[in-house]
Amino acid sequence: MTTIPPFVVPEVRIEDIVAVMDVMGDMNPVHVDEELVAELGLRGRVNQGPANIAYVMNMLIAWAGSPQAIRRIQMRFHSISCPGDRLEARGKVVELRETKNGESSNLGNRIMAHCDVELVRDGGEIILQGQAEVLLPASLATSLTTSAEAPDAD
Amino acid sequence: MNFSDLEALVGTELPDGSYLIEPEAHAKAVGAVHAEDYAFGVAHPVYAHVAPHCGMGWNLPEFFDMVGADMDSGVLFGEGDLTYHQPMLIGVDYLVRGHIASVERKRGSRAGVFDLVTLHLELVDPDNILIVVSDETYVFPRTAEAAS
Repeated sequence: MTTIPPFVVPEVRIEDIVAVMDVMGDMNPVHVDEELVAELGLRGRVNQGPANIAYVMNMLIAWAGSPQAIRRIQMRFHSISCPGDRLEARGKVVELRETKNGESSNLGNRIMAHCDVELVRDGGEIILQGQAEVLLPASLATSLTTSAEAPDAD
Repeated sequence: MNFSDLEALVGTELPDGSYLIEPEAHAKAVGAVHAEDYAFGVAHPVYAHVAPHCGMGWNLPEFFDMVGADMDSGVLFGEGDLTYHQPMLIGVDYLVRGHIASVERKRGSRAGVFDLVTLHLELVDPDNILIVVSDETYVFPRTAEAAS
C-alpha cells in the first residue's frame, strides 16, 4: 500500500484564521472569541473546517501534481484544530482503478487512486478523516501499478 | 426548535446565489491555508466548499436563523463531500443553487443534544454546466430547552 508524502502545517496561526474569515465573510465567533470558546468547553479558538480540508488537499496536489487531480473528497471531523497546533496531513492509496470514459476530464489520465486521508495534530489526535479520489499523472500511475504488480522481494 | 419543525425544512430550496472567485481573495485564501496560487487560473480545490458556501442564497445568520440557532451557539462544520465535475476558474461568476438535504438529531454523552443539518449545494457556470457539488453538514448544539 503506497503512502502519500505528508503535508505539514508547522503552526496554525490566528492571523490565517482571520484571513479565511475575511475571505469567506465568516462571522462565526468560535473562530476568534476566547471567552465564548471557553464557555462552550472548546480547547481553543476554532480553525475553519475548510482550512483543515485544504491542508489535506495540499498533500494530494503536491503528490498528484495538479489541483485538478482531485475528483472527490469526503471528510468527517472528529475534533478541532486551534492556533498553535502543528498539523500533519497523511494519506495512503487503498486501490487503483482505471477510469471510465469521461471520468478523466481533460487531463488525459486513466488511473484513479482511491485514498484514505486524515489530518492529525501534534502526532496524535485525529482532526478529520476521509476518502479521496485522485486522478494520477501517467508517470505516477505507471510507477504505482508497477510496484503493485511486482512480486515480493522475499 | 423542536425536531419535527426541523424535519419539515428538509427539501427547502435556497434562493439562487452567485459567487465570483476574485483573484485577490483567492490569493489571500490560498496563502492562509499554506497553499500556492496555481497557474492557468484554476482555483484551489477548497473552493469547491468556499464558493458554494459563500455564494449560497442565504448568508450564515439567515441559515442559522432558519434552523433555529444563534450565531454564538458554537455551530461547527461536521462533514464535507465535494465532487468535482469541471475545473473551477478564477474570475468566473458562478451560480449557486441548493436545498436542505437532511436533518438528524443525536445525543452524545459529552456533547449533549445536537442536530446535524446537511446542505446540498451545486456550483454551475454561466452556461449552466455543473462544476462542483458540495454536501456540507453542520453540527448545531442544542440546549435541553431548545431541543424540546
